[in-house]
Amino acid sequence: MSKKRILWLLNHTTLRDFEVPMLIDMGFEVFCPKIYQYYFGDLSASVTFAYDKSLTIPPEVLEEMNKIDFYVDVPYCIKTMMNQNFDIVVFGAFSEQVNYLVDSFHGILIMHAFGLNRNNSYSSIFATLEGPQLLDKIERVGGRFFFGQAYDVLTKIESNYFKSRSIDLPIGLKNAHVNKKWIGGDHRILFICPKINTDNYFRQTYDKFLTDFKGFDYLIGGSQLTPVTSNPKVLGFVPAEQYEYNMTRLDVMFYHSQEPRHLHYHPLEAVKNGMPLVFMAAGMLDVLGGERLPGRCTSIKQARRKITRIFEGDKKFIQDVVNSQPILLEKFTYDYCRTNWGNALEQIKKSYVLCDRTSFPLPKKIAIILPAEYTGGVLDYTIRFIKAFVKGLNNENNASQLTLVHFEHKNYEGINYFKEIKELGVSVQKFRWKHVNSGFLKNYYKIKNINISVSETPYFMMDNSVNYLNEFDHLIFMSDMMPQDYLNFRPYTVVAHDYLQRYVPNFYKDFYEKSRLEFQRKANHVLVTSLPTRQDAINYGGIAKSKIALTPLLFEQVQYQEIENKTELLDQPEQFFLWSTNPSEHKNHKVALDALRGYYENGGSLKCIITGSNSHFLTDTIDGENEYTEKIRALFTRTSCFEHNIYIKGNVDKNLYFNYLKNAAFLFHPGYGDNGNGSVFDAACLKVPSLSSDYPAMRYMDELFGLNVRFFNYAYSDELTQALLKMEKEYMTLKNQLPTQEALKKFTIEETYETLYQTLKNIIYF
Amino acid sequence: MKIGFFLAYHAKVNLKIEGLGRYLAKLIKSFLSLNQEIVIACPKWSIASLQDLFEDNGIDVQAIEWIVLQREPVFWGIINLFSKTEKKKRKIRFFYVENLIDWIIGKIVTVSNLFLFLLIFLLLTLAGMLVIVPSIMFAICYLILQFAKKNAKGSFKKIYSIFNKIYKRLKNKNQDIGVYAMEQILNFSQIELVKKINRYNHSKIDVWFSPSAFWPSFNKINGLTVVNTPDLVTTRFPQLFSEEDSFVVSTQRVSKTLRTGKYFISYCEYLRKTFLQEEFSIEKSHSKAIAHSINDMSSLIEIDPIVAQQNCAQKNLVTAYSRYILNALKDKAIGCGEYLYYFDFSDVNYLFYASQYRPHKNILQLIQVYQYLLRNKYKNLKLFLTANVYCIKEVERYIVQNRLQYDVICFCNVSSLELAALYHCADLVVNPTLYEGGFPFTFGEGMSVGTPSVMSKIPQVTEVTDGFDLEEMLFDPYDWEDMARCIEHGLDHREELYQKQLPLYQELSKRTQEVVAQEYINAFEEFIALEKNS
Repeated sequence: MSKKRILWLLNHTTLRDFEVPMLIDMGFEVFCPKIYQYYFGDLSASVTFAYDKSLTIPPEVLEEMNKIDFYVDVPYCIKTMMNQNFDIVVFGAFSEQVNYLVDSFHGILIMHAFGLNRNNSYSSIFATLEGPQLLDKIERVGGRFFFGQAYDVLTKIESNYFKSRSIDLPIGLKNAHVNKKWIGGDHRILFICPKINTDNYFRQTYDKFLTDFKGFDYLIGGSQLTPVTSNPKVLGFVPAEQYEYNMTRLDVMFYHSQEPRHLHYHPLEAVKNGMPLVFMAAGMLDVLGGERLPGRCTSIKQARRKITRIFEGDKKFIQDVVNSQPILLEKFTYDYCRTNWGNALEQIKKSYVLCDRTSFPLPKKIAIILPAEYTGGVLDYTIRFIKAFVKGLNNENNASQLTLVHFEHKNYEGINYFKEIKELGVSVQKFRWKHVNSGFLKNYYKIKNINISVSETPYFMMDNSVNYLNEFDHLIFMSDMMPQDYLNFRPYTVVAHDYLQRYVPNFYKDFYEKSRLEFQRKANHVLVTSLPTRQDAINYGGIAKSKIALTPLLFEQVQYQEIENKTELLDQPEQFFLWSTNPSEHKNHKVALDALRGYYENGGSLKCIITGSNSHFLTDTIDGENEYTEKIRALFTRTSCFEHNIYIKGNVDKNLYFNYLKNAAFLFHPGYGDNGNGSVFDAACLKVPSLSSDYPAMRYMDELFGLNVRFFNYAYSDELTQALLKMEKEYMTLKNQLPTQEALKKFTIEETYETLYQTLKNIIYF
Repeated sequence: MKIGFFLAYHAKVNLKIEGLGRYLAKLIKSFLSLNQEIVIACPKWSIASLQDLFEDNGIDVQAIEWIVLQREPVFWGIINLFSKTEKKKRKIRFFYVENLIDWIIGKIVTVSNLFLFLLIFLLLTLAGMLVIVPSIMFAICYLILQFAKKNAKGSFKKIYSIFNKIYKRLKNKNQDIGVYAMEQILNFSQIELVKKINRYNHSKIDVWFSPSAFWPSFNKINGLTVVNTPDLVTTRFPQLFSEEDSFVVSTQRVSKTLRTGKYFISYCEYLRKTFLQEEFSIEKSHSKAIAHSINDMSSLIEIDPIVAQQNCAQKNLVTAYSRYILNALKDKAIGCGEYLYYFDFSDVNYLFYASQYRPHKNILQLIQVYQYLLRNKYKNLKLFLTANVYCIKEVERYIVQNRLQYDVICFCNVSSLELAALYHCADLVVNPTLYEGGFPFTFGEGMSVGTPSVMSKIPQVTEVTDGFDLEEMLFDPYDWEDMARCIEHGLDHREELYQKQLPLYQELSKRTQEVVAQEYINAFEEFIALEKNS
């Protein structure tokens, strides 16, 4: 059997110096990552190329992998390289890394656990940070996952799954035997406390040490990210000679930690050098050395007394301490660790059979979700999204399955909105919202034996009459319109269409859209379709850039049939312009209507056709009537010049809409603040120019597609009047300045689906 | 030279987080490094805050001679005791009191003997009376003090306002009871401190220096007294400061200090001339203008070079570290409710203005300009402030009415480290002030960590920027459109602006704290000579 290869995805120097050579001795090839940035400035970490020579993978693969930061999601091709060339991955509990590894690595996964502070378990930390979904994902790895505990006390507080998947991978220390170098004589305490200015835990440890040992002279070792200028006794990084001096000449090392499940390396270094170690009881050292070591202290008072004895040169006591403490090293020796690792890796061998390295990546079951009763733009986008996705899957013969899951609502009765996608082989399901109380979640965690406190609010779940959508590998939400406290068990991606509320204060008034924003922030990935929205997602949505993917707008080339029975105005091409609107305030009706009045009063001769969902609110009452619609209707009806110039067509079907658009002199778009109006693309396809409000999303479209849109300042009606009058004179010229059909085709689904598909492929890994 | 510092700060001032604290620490540190002797006179309540400040700035507390006023009003002591125990009480309530209450209730409801039940009831009523009466007395004292500090809320506020109305009616004058009480306590401490100084062997001290003009009693010290008098903004903009009684009191104090004092130091020539010489007729030779040194914040977020080298994989560790600090700042934001939960600050863009809220800081104008830039000019960024603007009704109303509470974020009580990180990650520093005691600190603070500034074109600024071709960084603070234009230009030309501001920054950096301290010593020497000759 050929040598197995291990991806050892950690950068801790001392740990690596011990484990990697041991693994190579045991017959493995080992890859170590060359880039790291987890928790800026992890001061015990470093990079080495020394073990690359153990690898027999193709040099170009190694070269590529050496450029990658494995602590954040890696590109698709790297995942493939990992699967093709490696059998085992060893990693720490960094949630972003765990997330992509469990999704994409098809070999053996070993999470190396070193113990957390206080009574925190890994399972409870994952549940707190990520909700149930990450643990659920890990459990789905089944027999290929192992919880590699550094100390056998760790699993006592872990979930059932981690318990049953645990193996002992003790951490060791190079040359873990006593080499009596210590001489002493420098009456100072050596206390190791890194990152004083930059880490709350160490800051508190430092402050406590200064208070507890007031009156004693001391030196503080450990690297400091930013220098501690107020105290010259804090050394920061020291050269080897100074390090040697500290460990051999200072009288004593004090170790403070009383963590029952975590140990630092430095007390062991002291033991190695034969330096007296005075330490606090009830920590990991008790587990290793029992409760009878002379250096062990149950109180600070006792520690002060013992240190004083050492300072005073109490030889017998010093000898007692030094001679008794080598027991602490026993479990860190090469032989001890090698035996345990050997046993653990034997156990792992049994799972090799579960690793199917030939059929990766596996096809996935993906749900595309309409969380609310959309029938307009979001539904259109969803259909186009699915079309593009299916096209990608078909193109690659990928067996992943798509299902559209929509909110059960009367809007979807009577009209078969989903006919087109059903014909593409996408199944359609519906769901209802189900309320559960906090007891549900508590029981869920109890079943898994995860100790975590749960907020006492009601939760919402999506009930599709089967298994709350847990049968899917990934969920893609077509909108963020979610109820508060959605209880999520699966990884998900959400499309953020726009952040209108940021630009139109009245949209939400003083309501905070917590459910929407938190749903986005907790998503595994967020999709946006324009650069301005991407910036809003960062600056208003509060989402890290790394989680946001820019995807194409997915236009379709306009297809319509010319209507033979020409209705009003359709028989008079270019004698009107088209305004598609709805009753939302960001459509800027007040300014638009004032401008139109000005336009007609100043001799404007083109008629205006208004279409759009509920656009008849301008003359009639509608469902969802409010103060705004009443105000605008009053404005509309009292303007006499509109009577013969403005024609309200309301919600017309697509074909009729395109007939109007095709015959319009130009398209009129006075709205603002959203993700842009795709109608300008349709208009260009039909050789119709556009007049639009000037805002980033429209500028983005204009520049991207080269549409030559005419812009105006949406805030001023007089400016808009002038723009309309000018447009009437210039639209003919502008028609000739529109891009060609070929140029526009580049932005349709046919040409851009691949970008979306590749993005999704990398996110979901299928 | 032996320099005496007179520090009669309010007991609740935490000098470590105040700009004036940093200024004081730097000055004292430099005096010590120039081998001057330092004496500090202060009330007992300032000791902890001062020692904390000095330790934080690497000043050896032992090298300073202390004159401490041990006496303090009993009333103040009680109130202090009350507020100090607040935290402990909360802990007790959580861990013990709740259980105790449950235990007592459990016992009472299960008493089966009627006589015993009545006895317990009687005892509890008596005990209640004994607690309630002193509690009311206590609460009254507490309320007065809370109001003096403007901390009271809700029903406390109502009770207080009733008290206050009665007080005002009785006194027939427009002064809050809380303001009056605090004023009396502060006056007491100053007068007593001066008495103590005068009992001290003052001949040894060459000059007494007060870094603030709020303490008129200072001039009663038997010896040469020099006062730092930055400005008197309340008389310059009386309309902005007439809403609050406390400004009347502080104005009277500063005016009194100026009328009774002899030697003064201002922070810029403009104010030395217009304020000291013209407004208060201080003789030219009796005043000096000594500008601040810049407040270099880079050392706070500077990364140990060896660590940086080790972490070569990460391109910009300072920025990564600063962003990490920002991510931990959420708890200090006020006014935006739950908005910052799960908010990721790793890439957020923002304009930044670090300042306390004062009417002349022109913050409402800045917020309006910000709104215009966001919603009309589509500058996609936030506005971060360090002032609590929500304590001012008009500002709060404006923010909420325009739904800006999720984009204008106020971080209160930020530490120096957090301030440095905020400056470093900002797209641009803005200072819209109408008036300052000297050239604003914000410029140097921003530039020291790589962020350029745009700021108000006021004499205190132009006296420093003139000659550096920096017209494009200045705007008329009264003209919102000019401010918007200038900020927009700054955002669009950030790097260019940084490069253009660098010569000024380098020039200002030459004025190290030692240079400034030496100028103070020279001024003191001149004043001593004048005094001898007079």
